[in-house]
Amino acid sequence: MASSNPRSGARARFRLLLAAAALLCLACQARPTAEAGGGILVVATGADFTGPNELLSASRIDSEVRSNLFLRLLQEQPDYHHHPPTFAPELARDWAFSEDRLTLTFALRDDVLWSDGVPVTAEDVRWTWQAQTAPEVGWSWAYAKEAIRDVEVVDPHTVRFHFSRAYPTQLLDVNEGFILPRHAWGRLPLGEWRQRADWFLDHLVVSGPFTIARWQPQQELVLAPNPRYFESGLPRLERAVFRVLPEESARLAQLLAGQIHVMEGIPPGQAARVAAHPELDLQALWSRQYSYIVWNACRPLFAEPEVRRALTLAIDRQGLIEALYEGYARIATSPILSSVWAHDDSLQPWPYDPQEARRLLAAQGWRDGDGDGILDRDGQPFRFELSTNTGNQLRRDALVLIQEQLRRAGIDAAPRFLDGQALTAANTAHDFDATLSGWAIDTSLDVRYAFHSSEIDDGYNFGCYANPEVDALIERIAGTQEPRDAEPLFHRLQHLLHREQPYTFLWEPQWLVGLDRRIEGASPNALLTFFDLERWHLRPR
Amino acid sequence: MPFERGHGLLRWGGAVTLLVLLAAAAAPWISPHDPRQQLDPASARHRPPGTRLAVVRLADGATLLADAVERTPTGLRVQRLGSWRSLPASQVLNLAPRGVDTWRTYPLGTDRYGRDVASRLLWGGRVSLRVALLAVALALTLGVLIGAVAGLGPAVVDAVLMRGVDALMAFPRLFLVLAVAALWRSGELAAVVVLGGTGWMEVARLTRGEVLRLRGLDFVQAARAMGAPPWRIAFVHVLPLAVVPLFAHTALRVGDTILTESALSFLGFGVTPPTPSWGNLIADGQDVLLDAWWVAALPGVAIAVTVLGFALLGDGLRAVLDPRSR
Amino acid sequence: MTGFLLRRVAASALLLLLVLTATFLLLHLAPGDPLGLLAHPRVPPEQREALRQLWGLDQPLAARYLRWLGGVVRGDWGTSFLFRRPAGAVLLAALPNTLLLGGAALLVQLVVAVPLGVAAGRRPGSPLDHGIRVGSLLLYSLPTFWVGLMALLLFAYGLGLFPPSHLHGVGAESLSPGLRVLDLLHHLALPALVLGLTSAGGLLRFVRSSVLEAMGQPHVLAARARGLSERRVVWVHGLGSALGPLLQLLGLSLPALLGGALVTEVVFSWPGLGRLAWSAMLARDYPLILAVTAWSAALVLVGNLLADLLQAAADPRVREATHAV
Repeated sequence: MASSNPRSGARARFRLLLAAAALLCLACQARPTAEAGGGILVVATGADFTGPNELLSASRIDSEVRSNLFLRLLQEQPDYHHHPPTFAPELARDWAFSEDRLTLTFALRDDVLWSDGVPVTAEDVRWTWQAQTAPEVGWSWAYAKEAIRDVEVVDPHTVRFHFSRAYPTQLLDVNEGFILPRHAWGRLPLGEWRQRADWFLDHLVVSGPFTIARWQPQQELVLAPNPRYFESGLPRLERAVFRVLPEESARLAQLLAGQIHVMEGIPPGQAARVAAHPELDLQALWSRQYSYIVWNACRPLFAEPEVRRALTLAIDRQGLIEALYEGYARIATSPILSSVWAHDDSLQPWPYDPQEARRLLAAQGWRDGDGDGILDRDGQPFRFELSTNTGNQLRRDALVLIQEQLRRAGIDAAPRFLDGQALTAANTAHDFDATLSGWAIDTSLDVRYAFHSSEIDDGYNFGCYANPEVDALIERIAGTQEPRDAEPLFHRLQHLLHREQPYTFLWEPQWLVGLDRRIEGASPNALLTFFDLERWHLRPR
Repeated sequence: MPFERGHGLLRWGGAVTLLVLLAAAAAPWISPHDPRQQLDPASARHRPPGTRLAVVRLADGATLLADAVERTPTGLRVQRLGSWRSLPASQVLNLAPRGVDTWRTYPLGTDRYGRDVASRLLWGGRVSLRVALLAVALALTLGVLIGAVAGLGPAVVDAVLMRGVDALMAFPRLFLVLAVAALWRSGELAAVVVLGGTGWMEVARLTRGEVLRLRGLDFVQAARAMGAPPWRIAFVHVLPLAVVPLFAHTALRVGDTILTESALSFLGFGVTPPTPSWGNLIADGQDVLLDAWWVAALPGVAIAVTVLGFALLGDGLRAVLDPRSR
Repeated sequence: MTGFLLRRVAASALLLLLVLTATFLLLHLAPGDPLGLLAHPRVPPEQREALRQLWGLDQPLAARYLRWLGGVVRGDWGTSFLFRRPAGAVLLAALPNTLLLGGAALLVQLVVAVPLGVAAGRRPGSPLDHGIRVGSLLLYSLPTFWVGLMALLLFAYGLGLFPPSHLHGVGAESLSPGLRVLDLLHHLALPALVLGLTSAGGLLRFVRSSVLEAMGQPHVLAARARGLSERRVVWVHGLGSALGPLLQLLGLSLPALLGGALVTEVVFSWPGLGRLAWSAMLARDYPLILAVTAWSAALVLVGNLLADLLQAAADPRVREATHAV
């Protein structure tokens, strides 16, 4: 802290003045210390953990923590880029579909214990499914279990899922959600779950590598090894401390100062600083997200595909990526991420071409008749509100920059900032002109949520996009047993979306993680940063 | 002696206040640049105070800001984002013998979009002052009305109103303001309503106290004895005098409201971006404290100077209007 | 004395009820649906309706008010949407941290304001007095959150003298109790200094004017005439008579102190009531907003009550005066 060679006399005097305060640093715990064993890992998180029960709440940090507390039947591999995702055994040793793909049987490991010594059995699997689908629990992802008719306990270590229909992502849907402790949590009636979310912490038993040693809301969550974890020798860390630090600047400063070991979601503008730091390693991971602007085709302004295409041409996406993401993003062209096997690589992103945009708009009758710099048609200026949510600096920045670019093309976009909840409400009610937002997508490649006309009334098709051919393609893809066979259909679908631009697909950002170089055994991926936390350890300084 | 010091405070406070108000009022004319304009944000981002950049206008409509330019026989060499590149003369619209004909200076640096901090400070001051002045006007109106009703009306009304005032004054103002702003709506008008609607209690108390005092004085008793109607007593004899002690309070109130508004905007519930106000300028700078200290530091200085001006003014007014206080 | 005490407590209780009612109305008349936060768009409507009933949102306002008040009396503030735990428990966990920060800041205020105020009050009109007067106005004029940010930049990030956030360092639970307290003080220092200094202006001015006033009063003049040392005259007789009003002023400055604590806690990631309030408001966590807002006002009321009682204990005339009102 006090360097030995102050650079100037004034500074030295200043230090003297502060010496009294510095004395307090006797107890200074600024740097996390590695002791014997795997050390204490310190992670900064912006959001607070909300509890161990995933059926009641979900946030990124929740998923990260819970994936270290509980096991799933299978572990989805981060290989979805090259082919439909594959699975590795976790709680299940083996699995097999019946001939008609209507039943799926899992053989469970028989050596896995809950942290209180009770074995994990098929009963837990069946009960978890019941809790997941119970209306009074109201799990957000319960729809993933729609096609599961029943779960049958064949014997303590064999469990069979019965489906009402066969479809390509059955395995993905079965594997959604952790297996929860029936003997511990089953004691609280399902009807009381929502009201007593804190009960689950007091009655926590885990099957994963870690358990919760301490949780102080607004302060920190401390994970400690689960001594009954079935893989011997793991986890290696002594503790993993997740410190709550809502301010991004504070997280970054503490990472740079060596006070924390890991920071997720480094703002691209700060990436260079982290990359240049001798003790830090910057990892840029292609995330499963894309940003977009949805044009509300329920409103006449955006009803014509030509107009939407012109808007895309008027936005300098490459320039924005340079200005906002420092290159840690690439232009998006379709709802299928460009790194994924089903992506149509022949799609050329629409270029930034304001002249062409103006020409297209002029062909649709939009001209600057009154000379005020804003295009108009039938006396109506090309003016609309472009919304995004508050609390996301990059989106806010993007919105402000796009507003400026559109103005150069004669289009007046007024920014509107709503909190996330209000924005979702406005979007689902189609009560907006255009919205800048992003999707974090799963690996199913199902684009029904946003582009099928059946999702207009009660789904996420905010922009009222309706094209019978797109609808038919989405349904045909969903009905194809072998996902690989659907590749031509995926390509045709993307071609249509590219031409009609229901969205302006903006970019696919990278997820930036800063890690202390002393961390070994870490392999963060786009699914989860702490996906294999049990293998992490800190090299002694 | 105290009289003289009152004048001294008054002079200084008045001068600072006037200067700030004038600067805010004249923002459209004295701002170096358009506060919303983002020329070449990638290159102009987070430039320290005093940076001067060359403006290169290109034939395709884009504008580049360059650290340095060099005239070459075939066109222009431009240093931008750390590297040099050449542009043919046909692409550059504003070629001049010494490179280009336009340069931009950012006296107080730039923010994350390459916008001029000095201009944003001036325009932000306009918004912050407007919100504070309107909110105080609202608070004064509400406070005088409620205080007068309590002081002149029947005892029951007085008791009810004053207990209400007590209850509202028990809330830490920022908690109250935040709760209202968070649950109702945010924006400039909302900020005025919220700040005004939660700032009248002290005014009401002061007015009531003064009204009660004046009501007992001889000339009011005399007017009553001569049969003047109650409204006449209220508006002609009591209220004009009752508001005198409010002058000093008003000046202090404006300063206080600027502080509260800035905290509200800083916390994200006040004036919404991209409209600049001093509070959200600081919030903008918070994220980049390590890269560009000037973005957060300078608006704070502006707030402190302004609030100090109003505080000196209020102090001076109190010293002059109420010689008892020292 | 007992009568005064009872009356004063009863008045505070009545005010507390008014405060609770005001908070409730404030929130429940606000537009928007608190359920929107919890209910995922995928949740079917019938289920949403069930949740609505569960939380009593289908009942009229008066019924909800009584139900809520009944809960509050039993200490049940509902379940926080954000933390998924009882709002009262979340709040009680944060309360000591705010009291700690507020108490430390109050101490800083006194340490700064009393000596400087006395020095200024003893020599009215001197350059020192002028300097202190303007200095007190300057302290008042500085936005607390901005001073906090600048202090972070300079002392935490720049010089590395103080930790930038939290109550304790990592692994502090394994320290010996003595070191643990030092660690806490080390973390507390910067936020307490920021909050204490930026709110010391009012107190400073008060001490100055009290001393100035007291110095001209007969008992002080008499004390001086008796030949008591100047130091004794100023500190015992001059300041002593200002003790009662000082307590009252401290009581009155509580709301501002809590407001300052809110932004200080946000800037320094200090896990107290203020940061809780802010998180709750960002998430529109109705039960928690209600609880925090009501508690902040209750703290003020209790603080004022304490100040009044202490003042009454110190000065019997106050009791009589309160009788008269």
